[in-house]
Amino acid sequence: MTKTAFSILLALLLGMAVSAAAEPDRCRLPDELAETGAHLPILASAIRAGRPARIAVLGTSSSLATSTRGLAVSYAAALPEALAKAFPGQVFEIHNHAAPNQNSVEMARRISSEIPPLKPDLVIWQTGMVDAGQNLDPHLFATALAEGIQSIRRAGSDVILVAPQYLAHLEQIRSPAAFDGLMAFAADAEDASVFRRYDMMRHWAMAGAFRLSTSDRDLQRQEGTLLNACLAQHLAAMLRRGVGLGRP
Amino acid sequence: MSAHTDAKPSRDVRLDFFRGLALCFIFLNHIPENVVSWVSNRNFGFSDATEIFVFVSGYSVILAFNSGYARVGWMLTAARILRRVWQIYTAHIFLFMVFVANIAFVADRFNPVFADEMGISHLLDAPHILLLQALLLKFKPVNMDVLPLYIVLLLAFPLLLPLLRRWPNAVLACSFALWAAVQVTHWNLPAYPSGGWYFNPLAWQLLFVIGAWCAVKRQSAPWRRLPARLFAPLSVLYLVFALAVVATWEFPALEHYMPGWLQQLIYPVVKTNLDAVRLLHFLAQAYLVVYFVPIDAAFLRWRAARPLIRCGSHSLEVFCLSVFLSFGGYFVLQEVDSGYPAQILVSAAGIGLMIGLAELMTLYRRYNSDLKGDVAPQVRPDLTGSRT
Repeated sequence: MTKTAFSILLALLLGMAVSAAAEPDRCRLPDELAETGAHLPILASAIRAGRPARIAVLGTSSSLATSTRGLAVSYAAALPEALAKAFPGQVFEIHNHAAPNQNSVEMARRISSEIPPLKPDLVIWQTGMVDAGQNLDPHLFATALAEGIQSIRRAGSDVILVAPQYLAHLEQIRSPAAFDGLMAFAADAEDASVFRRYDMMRHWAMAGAFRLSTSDRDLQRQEGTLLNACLAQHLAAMLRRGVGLGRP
Repeated sequence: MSAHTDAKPSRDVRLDFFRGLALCFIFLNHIPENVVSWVSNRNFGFSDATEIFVFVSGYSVILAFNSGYARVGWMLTAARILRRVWQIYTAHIFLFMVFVANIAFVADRFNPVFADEMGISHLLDAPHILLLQALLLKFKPVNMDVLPLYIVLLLAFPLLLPLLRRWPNAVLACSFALWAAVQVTHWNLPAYPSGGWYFNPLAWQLLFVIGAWCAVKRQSAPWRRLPARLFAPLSVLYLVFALAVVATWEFPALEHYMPGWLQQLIYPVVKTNLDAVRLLHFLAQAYLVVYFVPIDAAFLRWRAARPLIRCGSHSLEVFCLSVFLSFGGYFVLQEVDSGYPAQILVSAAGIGLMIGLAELMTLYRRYNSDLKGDVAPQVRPDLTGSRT
């Protein structure tokens, strides 16, 4: 290898080491976001009993298990790895039932037919984005959330809602902020917890933690994947708090 | 009563001032993450600049068209109203083009990094359908919802006007009944690709009609008969209450001060259907303004007030420019720098340009009327564009 090539390789390796070291900092969130609590008794009993915990993920395109069309790897796809780190030794069965372009009303209907046969310990339900895009009536949205949460509970599972995404370049065109607020309101009324993805992504956007505005599409995808890995990490930590465990 | 309403409208510069103020707030609010938008009234209570705008327009529309009605009759008045509708419609189409250009840029630059779950890039998949839906007012980009609302309200106005002249209280009562029905049934007009209008005309018409009603009754001013000793403090109390509640939204640390029963009662506060707490909040402000700000208030003659008054008197053009500038401003913040100094600079530049346009249009109008040898107009033009 020539000297130049070697130096370049060394520089790249150093760069990767530095950025790898820097990664945990990029995921950092203020306490009030990083310490969002949850109450997940059914998942807790599964973990205590030492049996495999079954999790169902319901959502739209940002929750798909496999990325398509060059999109970033979603938080749901990064979840198995994050859970393995957060719960060493615990087996998780993750059933991903996400499907694009479904609003909360449609998903609430699916919940009553698809969730009971699955018998999951926990349902992670992501919604709000498609509803924002469709101008769904706010009351319909809030009602669908309430009905969905109640169906999940009746099926004997815990539930965590996942808030919409904060995307700076889309905020001015159509902001899901109102639906994020409605979700918080509906969840509060049903005593359910929300994984505050909107607030987290907003914090990172304000802090410039991820270079999502770059014109380089490949870099955009990489940064997006990193951000979603951070989200999965925080979600796994929230599950730990929900089952009453401290930090690993 | 009708003799009073047919009299020449007195010059109410307050309308232009508050409309100009509302326009500045709307511009600032249209730029996300803008620290300067903290000055806008949406942070201090439930209602925002939209309520001001709709109410003032309802009031102005009566001033513009009512006095001429007795002279020229219904047909010609309706024609003048429709002429104004056409102007607002063309402004809406202009803004639609600005919006599509923005989506095209965003879709090109940001291949859905995560997932375009809101379907925004897909809007451009069938542009011919999008265009048709925009022409039919069914597709309304989110920042431009207020113009289609006006178009619908103004289209109904030729029918409303004679009814308001004869039976103003009955019209107000019917308007209130419709609003109340919407609170329960959530009726709305259909939008494209789905859902309803962001500003539900069936609900927002109430504020427009209240404004028109106040203008019809402005000589007898029945609100002055309300005991001010009771209503002024009540209004202030309500404003303080609203401020406290909004503070819990801005500072989550204060959230637990909000009692559960109160949350059940007033949440969610939904803008689309002109939520009752928003309506009350605006009416409390309006009452205090009417009570404390006389028609010839001193501050309206200050030099600092003049740019706002000029903006308010050319509100359609200034509004169009403000939307255009808000897209440009946010682009600059995202591409160049998004810190506080940049936000302040962009906000100041935007408002400066809006004022510049208003001044230019005032000069132009003056030049035009000098050219025609007119005496300087007694009544400044308003949103409706007519001078009576």
